[in-house]
Amino acid sequence: MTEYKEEHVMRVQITARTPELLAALADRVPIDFGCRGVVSQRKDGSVVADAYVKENRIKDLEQDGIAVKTIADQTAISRERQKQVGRGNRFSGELSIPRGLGKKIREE
Amino acid sequence: MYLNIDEVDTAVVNLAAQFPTLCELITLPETSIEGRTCHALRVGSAPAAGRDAVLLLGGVHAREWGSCEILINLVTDLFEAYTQHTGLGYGGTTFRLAEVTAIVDGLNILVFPLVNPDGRAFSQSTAPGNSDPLWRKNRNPASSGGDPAKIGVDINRNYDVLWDFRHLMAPIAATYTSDDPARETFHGPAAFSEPETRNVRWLLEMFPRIRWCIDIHSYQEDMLFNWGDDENQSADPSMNLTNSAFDAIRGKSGDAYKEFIPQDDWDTAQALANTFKAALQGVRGRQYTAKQSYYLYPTSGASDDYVYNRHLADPMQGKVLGFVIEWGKRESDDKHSFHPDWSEMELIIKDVTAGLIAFCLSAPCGGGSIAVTQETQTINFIDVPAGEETVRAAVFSIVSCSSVTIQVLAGPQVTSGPGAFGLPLGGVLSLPAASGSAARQLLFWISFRGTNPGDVTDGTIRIQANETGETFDIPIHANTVARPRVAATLVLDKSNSMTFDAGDGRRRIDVLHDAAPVFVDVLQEHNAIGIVSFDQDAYPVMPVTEAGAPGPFELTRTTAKAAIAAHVPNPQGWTAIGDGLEAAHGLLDGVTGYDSRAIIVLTDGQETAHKYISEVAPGLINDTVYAIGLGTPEEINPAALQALTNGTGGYVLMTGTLDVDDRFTLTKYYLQILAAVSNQEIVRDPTGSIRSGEVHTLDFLLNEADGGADVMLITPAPGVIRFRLRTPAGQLIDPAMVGTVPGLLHVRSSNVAFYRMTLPLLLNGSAQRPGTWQAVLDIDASGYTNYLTHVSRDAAALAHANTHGLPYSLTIQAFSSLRMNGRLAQSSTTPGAILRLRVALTEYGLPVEGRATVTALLTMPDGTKQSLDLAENDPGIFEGSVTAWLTGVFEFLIHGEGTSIRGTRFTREQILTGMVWTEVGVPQDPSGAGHSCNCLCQTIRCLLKEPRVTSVVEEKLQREGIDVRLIRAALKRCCENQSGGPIL
Repeated sequence: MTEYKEEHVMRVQITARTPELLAALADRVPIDFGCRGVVSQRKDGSVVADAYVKENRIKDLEQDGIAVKTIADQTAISRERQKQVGRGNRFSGELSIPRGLGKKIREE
Repeated sequence: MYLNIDEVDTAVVNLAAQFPTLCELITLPETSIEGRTCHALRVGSAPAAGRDAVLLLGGVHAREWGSCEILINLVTDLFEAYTQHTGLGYGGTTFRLAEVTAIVDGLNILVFPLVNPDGRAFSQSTAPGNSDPLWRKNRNPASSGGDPAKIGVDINRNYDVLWDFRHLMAPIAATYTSDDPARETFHGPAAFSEPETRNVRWLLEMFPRIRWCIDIHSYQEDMLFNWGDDENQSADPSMNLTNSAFDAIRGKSGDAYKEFIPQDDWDTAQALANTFKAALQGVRGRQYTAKQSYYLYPTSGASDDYVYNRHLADPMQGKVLGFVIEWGKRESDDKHSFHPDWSEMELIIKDVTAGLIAFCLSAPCGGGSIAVTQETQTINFIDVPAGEETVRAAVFSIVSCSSVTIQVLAGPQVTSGPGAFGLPLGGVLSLPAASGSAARQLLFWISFRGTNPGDVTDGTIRIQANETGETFDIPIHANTVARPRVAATLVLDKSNSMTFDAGDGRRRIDVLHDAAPVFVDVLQEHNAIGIVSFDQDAYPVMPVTEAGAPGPFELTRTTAKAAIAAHVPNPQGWTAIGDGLEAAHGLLDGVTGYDSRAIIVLTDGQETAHKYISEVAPGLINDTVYAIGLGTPEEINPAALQALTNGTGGYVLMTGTLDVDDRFTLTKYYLQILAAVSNQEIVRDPTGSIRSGEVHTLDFLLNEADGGADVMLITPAPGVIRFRLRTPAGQLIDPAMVGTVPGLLHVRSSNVAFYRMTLPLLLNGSAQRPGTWQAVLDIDASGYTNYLTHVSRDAAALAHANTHGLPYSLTIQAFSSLRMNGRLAQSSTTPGAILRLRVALTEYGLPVEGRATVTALLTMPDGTKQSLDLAENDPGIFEGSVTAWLTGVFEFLIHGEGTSIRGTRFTREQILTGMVWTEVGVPQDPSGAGHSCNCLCQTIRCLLKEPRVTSVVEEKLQREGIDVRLIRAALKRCCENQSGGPIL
């Protein structure tokens, strides 16, 4: 099995002249549109999508009718967030459970 | 901090262990590709089969870390609030405790917080070369061909709905779904190829009452609902995803094909999504969009459309509305996306938790589900007194926001034994539609009237819930016992002060002689009476003896009345109430066979001799004690009487100083106490005077809850007044009809004449009960002349007769299931005391809610009157208060009026008295040594003072061996420091 090599994923904003053009682009280039597809349509019929693309594939997106804007290095951001993931098991003690964040309101 | 996968699983397992009555740990049947065991929780105190359920999925897409945390927080908050009896607050959105319990008790929430543990582990791992924080899929390598970039299946494209998008969807579907393992949206080699999706399917199969499913993802700040494959339409049912005519067409925006969804499902889904959005927005203002899942590009193989399509693909499956939450900010310049900073994530958790709770509260309404649970397995009428009608409820728990109707299909019918069961409120009951999903009770009332003691009656009733078609057969069991019987002892004061003027022209002993015999005459058959008298000692006068049928020659009553007539004051008599109490208790102590025992103390003065009330051994008196104070609070020690009656179920009544208009006061008090000990209710209690030639017609109301009634005419000359009754149908009843009308009795005695009726009264073939009855009074002319002759030596009575006529009091009492019980509490006994009235009205033991008014006519010590409207502060509980600035007796005539369950008007009356006096001259605790000495000194001072002990008397005492001078000398030293000045 080939060793897995991490490539950074960039968060980009893709603007396509038509939905079909964006679909064709996605068919040609592996584009991760996020969970459900953060796509909005403008009054002129063009569509704007949030997308996640490997850094070395951004250049493949460029074509007539498509504009790409890099927003952030999402891999770098998420690697930083990994520091906020619990280590070990904070509930490994006997019947230890998390506390709810809701305010408990005692009623008169 | 975010939860790692071990923490998610441990939290679920520990929550189940910590709250075993509120949830159930579910181990999913399939481990993950990497061998991890998955757990879910069924949250809900009721069994799974008894409630509809919401399925919540989290952790499907590996990188969307916060979804697990949202679900764990939801469960934790619900359990903490439920067990700590609190509401819940998230910023500006709050939920009451009742809403928390409505969810936990009225719903099931299936929480599967980490569907894809392998993917999350890979996303959270920091292992170089073997992790990816943006990993989305599971970790199944089956389709990878050894290429790490091709590992995994998008779980949310792997469900069996339009999974084969290449054939079933338009080409544009490939934007969001792929058959290329290298793509993030790879749908797998086959529908349900993945253990994660099969686990979700298993939950849907194992919990068929799942009605809603929410799959929690990020990000976009959306709340999405069906369909996700195309735009919605409700006009053409044939245009649907199972129709092959539309294969390869569906999914394209703006064309003719749109997916069919019934309008009510569409409306429901939109409404629930809006509910979620509104509650979430209330937290801190985030504005999610509630919209159809499809927008521009279709999805296929996703959970939301799969769960909804299940009932279309297989009509045997229940309908499940599918939803997807996309939490997290969508701003293009936002750096949070899938992994918000934890501080932001905590805010998102609160946002979404609030929305989920609101969703769960509204879901049963929006989903239109109806759950009817029979809570009463058997209807038991236990020990119903003969002649008394009572009701019991068949209770159903209804979880539904739409209206529900329950009706009798058969019965209630008697299967064995005598009597009959009834439906006092009819055979159809409905609950209206409601805005919330909390379980509501529907009570189906069954009635039964006690037949004869010892009877056992069985029956059954079949009830149907119309909306669900369920039928419930409920057995009924009843038994009848004798009407409760009481053994009562009258404790009568014979101290010398009983010779004093009562204020109405009679001596106190005369008032007693007029009143107490009425108690004896009216006492129910098979009840028992005993008599004790007391001065400084107690004297058992008559043992507790069972009374026979009322009548002028009945032995127990004649004996008791003779004893009362022979009860005369002792000129040397002091007042030792404690002795009287102990003697009364002694009479009752050996008496058995009665349901209750009561002591009724009458006294007219302060305690002046041992035993005082406070000297009676604590706990000795275990009978119900009533006390009547004949006089003013200054003359009597009401505090001791109150202490005597408190906690026994009895109470104190005070007459105050009587005047000529109060001649029946003591009789009324005795009759009220008799009603209380006999479980009777006072319907009405008017007083008047009638002259020759007049006809008085007095209305009173009886209703279907009344099983019997006594109509009593109290007057010094019962034989002079012709006393008849008129039924609601206009038929007249007179004493001559006794013997011809079953259940009718008439008795005339020296101070009272009364009818005793069992209801309904069968008269000329018709049953007489509910409605307005009348007492019709008119004077027998010759008898009235005799009466005037009789009272000619009593100036006051003669004057009253000449001016007003013959005085009378009409008291109507009912043996009834419609009861009024008033109590009076005082903040103190000194001027400024607040007198608080609390009156409970019940019918068949249930509050008379919203269909009665209660007023109190207050007669103050100075004779002025004031009307007081009591407020219904709780169902059937009426309260009011006044501040007492005067000293003396405050008499409240409580008057309740309203309609019965069946809509028949009723009245109830009761007298309560409050007592206020100044502290000056009020005896302190008579058991205290100093006080005893003080009382003694005052008594001696009184005895030895001129003109009581004249020199002549002193000489007589000297001859008897009592040297008054020595007594004076001996006590001077003892008493010189006591209040009241020197002895001589």
